[in-house]
Amino acid sequence: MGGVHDNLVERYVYAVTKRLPTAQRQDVSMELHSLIDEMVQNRPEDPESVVTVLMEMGDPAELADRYRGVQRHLIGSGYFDFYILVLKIVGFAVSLGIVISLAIGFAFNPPESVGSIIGNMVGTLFAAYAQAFAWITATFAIMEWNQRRLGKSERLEQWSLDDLPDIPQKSAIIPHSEPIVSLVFLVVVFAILNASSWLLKVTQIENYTHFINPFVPEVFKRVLILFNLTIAIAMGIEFAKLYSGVQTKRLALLTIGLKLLSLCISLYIVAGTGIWNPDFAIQMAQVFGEGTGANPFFQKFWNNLPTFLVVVMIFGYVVETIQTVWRTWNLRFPEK
Amino acid sequence: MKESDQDAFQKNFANLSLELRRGTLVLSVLSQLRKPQYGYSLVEELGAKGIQAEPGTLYPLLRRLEAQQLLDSMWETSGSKPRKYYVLTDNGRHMLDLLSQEWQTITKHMIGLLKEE
Repeated sequence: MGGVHDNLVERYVYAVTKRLPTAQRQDVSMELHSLIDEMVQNRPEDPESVVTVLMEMGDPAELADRYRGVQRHLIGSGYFDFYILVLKIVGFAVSLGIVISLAIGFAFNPPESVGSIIGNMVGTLFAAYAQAFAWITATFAIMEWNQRRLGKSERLEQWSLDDLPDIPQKSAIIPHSEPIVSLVFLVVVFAILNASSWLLKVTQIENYTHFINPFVPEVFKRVLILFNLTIAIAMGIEFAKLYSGVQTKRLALLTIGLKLLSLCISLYIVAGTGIWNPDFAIQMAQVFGEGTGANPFFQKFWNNLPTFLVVVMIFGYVVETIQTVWRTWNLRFPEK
Repeated sequence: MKESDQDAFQKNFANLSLELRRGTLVLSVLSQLRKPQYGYSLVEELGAKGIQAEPGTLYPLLRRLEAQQLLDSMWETSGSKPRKYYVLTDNGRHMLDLLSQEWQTITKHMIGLLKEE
């Protein structure tokens, strides 16, 4: 045997063993060497016996798969369709969100040229797609891994007929379009909130510079992360609905719990951070030329707005929760 | 049938018959390991007895059976080249008996099925 062929065998064996757990490598390597040796010696008449044998052994990756006994994949067939759906939705949402936030940015800071608009947009889009893709894929990989781990322990227990899911009633089915529309809406809100140029809006009127902004910009910047958190929670709920596809008790509990969390954060933002610009009514009056004093009606409205919002949000949550519970309960015990 | 259809049919046949034979491989292997054998001698012996076994399938299978404690293994390093010998454990012998009985039952029933009409 020539040295070239020795090297070929080494490389083949390495290509197999590098895909195996470290503990098995040496043993498998010895075994494969001894096997290949033997197969080669069995073909003394073939000058290219090493090549023939290795070709016969086939793709090293496949051989390694057989040694491992399991297929390796990041996202299995159980999640794959949903993964693709989420990628599509997020891809669309990211595009929309970026276009909106860049448009807002350009409206307040007009760019120098069309070229810079396009350049900026392509660059931002590309970075955002890469980020979104990486996060989604990582999330699904973790879900897959978790599933496989759970699957192993669950299989030890006896499967029973009770494990079969109920066939959902027609009214319990959540069409894909419902969460998708909500998601797109959430992305638009997210984009507008995070395109912070509008916050620094300065209005020039008769040589006076006014800040008219319903929020205190410093506080707004500080609590932006909380805003985003509530949006993320809302998105999580929509993705859960999308994945489930059916209104279930579990989904209802998840929704109620997450919305409660979201409500607490929102209440804090509205009532606990001092985010509202106390001079907004006066500034509005100045800008719209109503003299120095604020419109008393508007001032009153403005002062009471946080309390009003708190009441509306709590009321909204209670109504929504009752609705969800009632709907879910009703679905589980259908009327005769 | 068109030529491409015929190709597809042939391919399908190859896959299905491979699947059919794959299930019998464990029993074939166990049956030959009452005495210690190393991987390649097993391939040759099975081949001589009409059972085609690819080394790429057989070697990983031997390891799996060892992990299931049906086979024992030892390296023989005194010869010119090291060889890993496999042999049935007590468990393996018991499993071979059970699977052989199973095989008898299956073939009996299969013959019955295939005789119909």
